[in-house]
Amino acid sequence: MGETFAGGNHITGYKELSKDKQIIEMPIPSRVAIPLSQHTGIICEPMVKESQLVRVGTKIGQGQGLISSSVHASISGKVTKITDYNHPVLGVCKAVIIDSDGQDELEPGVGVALARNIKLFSKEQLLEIIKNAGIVGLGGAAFPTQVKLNPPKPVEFLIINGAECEPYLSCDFRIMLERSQDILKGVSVVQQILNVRKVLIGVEDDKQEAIKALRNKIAELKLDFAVVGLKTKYPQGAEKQLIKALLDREVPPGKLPFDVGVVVLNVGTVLAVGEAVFLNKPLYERVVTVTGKILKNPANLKVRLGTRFSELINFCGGIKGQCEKIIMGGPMMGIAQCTDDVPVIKGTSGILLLSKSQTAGFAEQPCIRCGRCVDICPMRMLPYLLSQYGQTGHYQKADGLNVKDCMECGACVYICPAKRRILEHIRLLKTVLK
Amino acid sequence: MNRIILGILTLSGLGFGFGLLLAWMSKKFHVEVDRRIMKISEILPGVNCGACGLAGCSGFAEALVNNAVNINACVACSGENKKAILEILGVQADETSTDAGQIAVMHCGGGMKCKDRFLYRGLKDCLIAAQTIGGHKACKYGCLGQGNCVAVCPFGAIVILENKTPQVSTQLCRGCKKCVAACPRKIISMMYVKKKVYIKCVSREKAADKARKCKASCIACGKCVKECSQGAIAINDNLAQINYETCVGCQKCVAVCPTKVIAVI
Repeated sequence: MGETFAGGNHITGYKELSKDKQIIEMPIPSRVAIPLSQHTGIICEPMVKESQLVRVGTKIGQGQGLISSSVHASISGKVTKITDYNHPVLGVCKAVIIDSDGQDELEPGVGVALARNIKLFSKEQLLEIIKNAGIVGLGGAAFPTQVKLNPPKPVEFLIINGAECEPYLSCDFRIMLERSQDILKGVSVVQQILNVRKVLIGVEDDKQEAIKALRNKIAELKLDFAVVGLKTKYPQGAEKQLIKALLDREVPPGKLPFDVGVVVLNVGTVLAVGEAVFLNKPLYERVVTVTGKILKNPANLKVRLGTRFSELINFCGGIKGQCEKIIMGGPMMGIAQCTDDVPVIKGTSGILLLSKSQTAGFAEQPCIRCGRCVDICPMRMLPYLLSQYGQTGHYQKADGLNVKDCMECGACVYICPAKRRILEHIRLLKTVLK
Repeated sequence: MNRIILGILTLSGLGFGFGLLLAWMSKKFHVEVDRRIMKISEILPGVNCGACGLAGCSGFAEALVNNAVNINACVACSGENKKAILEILGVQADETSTDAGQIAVMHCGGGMKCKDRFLYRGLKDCLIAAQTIGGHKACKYGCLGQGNCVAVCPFGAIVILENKTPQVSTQLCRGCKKCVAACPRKIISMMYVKKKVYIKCVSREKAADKARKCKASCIACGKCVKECSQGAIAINDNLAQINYETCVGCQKCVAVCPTKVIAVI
């Protein structure tokens, strides 16, 4: 029986569409658009000029200020333009457009295997490597990793998040299966940076192969990491719920995981950390699950950042039937896109295509006070009440009910029998009470 | 029979007793109320819009009587009513108290003339629409048309027209500024009615981009600048701006604007 938290709900996973597909490297696109803001924090300052030649791994945007991250060129070629371009989260953002020269030439030093003995590196040196590699949280929120790995007080536990609770997505599962050794190498680096003894890797128990692969590798490498099976439940992969499930510690409202002595990192992020340290490879590619029932060949693709969604969809054989919605990420917390001409960014874990029957809208009905949303809310809030305050404009009444704790997982909307748009009303409250 | 008489006597006795008690209490605990506050409250609009910064219209009336606030702090009261209030207060009405004052104007005429990036099916609220990957309108400055200003207006002065642009009624708007605060795109501003003309565009994008996205945008052609005999119009950041210090309200610019971006109140 897997560990878990109170609340949450069981959602059909639809993971079988892509979970058995090996990661395929996608051919190099002829043109990429690399947005200068792919992370939480301040937008990058461009470091290249128009018509300048770049190589794979050339830094093209310098992070500004404390919470920011750099971006790198993902193909070799010429910078044709620095202009506003579609962005999957912000709508429109300044981006560097690079036309490929077809050579795929690496920046000197990038991708060269280094037999680095990390024990000889100091914490600051390792953080500097991570910062220069432009690594951010690859789970979706894209928080700069060097900031997360430098908590203001010492931590006790490092948790590696391999839960992947979002339906449809399977990219984390695939990398746990295929790259388990590299992940563990990355974990060792992070463990040294944080100076923690206890490392827990949380994986939902529907991914038994991944749990087995990680455990085998840990035994082989004689490491002291624990792989814990978690109950398959949404949102098991949310930071605070994962901590609750694994350690039975609760992060107080408005606080962060390090306040309870924990740092949580996604498996993709630690893999990128490992590659940055041992391969000197900046974050210019990531694994993306392209899936959906209307897609001909769902796949897990290793994609250069800046590749347009349309190219990924075409590579997967295109669409059968009518596509109604393109979502970046999973169906629960993903962001619907208005065009397929948007680039893959660091936070793109998946591209999901939905047909019309899968996106059927329902008319909103009055709340029947069944209390199901209260039962399943993983933050133990009162979604029905908050949504009513939001709907009727009684914003001030919600003050003191910790609206900001809502992580917008959408579990309440999923369970609501009255089809209420709970999350949208709560989001309105959050905006007004900001 | 006895019981009925007993009941009547007891109840009338109690009623008489409480009546006496109340009569005595009303004398004993009498509070002196300034009659003027009641009278002024009746004249004030009574919509509690809060533009004066006090606790509703009765709070404002009290402050007026205590001489703690200027009559012009109330934006919703008409000139005649202000005169009547000043009479009650025993103050000589002067010219400033009958000023026509400011009203809200919408600096966007996009509506259906501005292209949509996608079909927005979310909550009918401008704040949420603005958050949805940058808003559903092609113009990142323009009106989102979900009607937060309509909902917040205490005078019912704003309507969303059939072409999806908001319009302020000159007659109904009292200038309480609630809509200015409610608009996430900041397209509403206050201006004096006597100034007559204003620009119905806020986009600072390049003229060519604007023209592509919206047929009702200022394309910075400069015709109004040339036409203005007072030199009151200038183009800054791809957008015409009127200097109300020198504008005389002749409305010549309105006729020459090719995209009909200059509007008259």
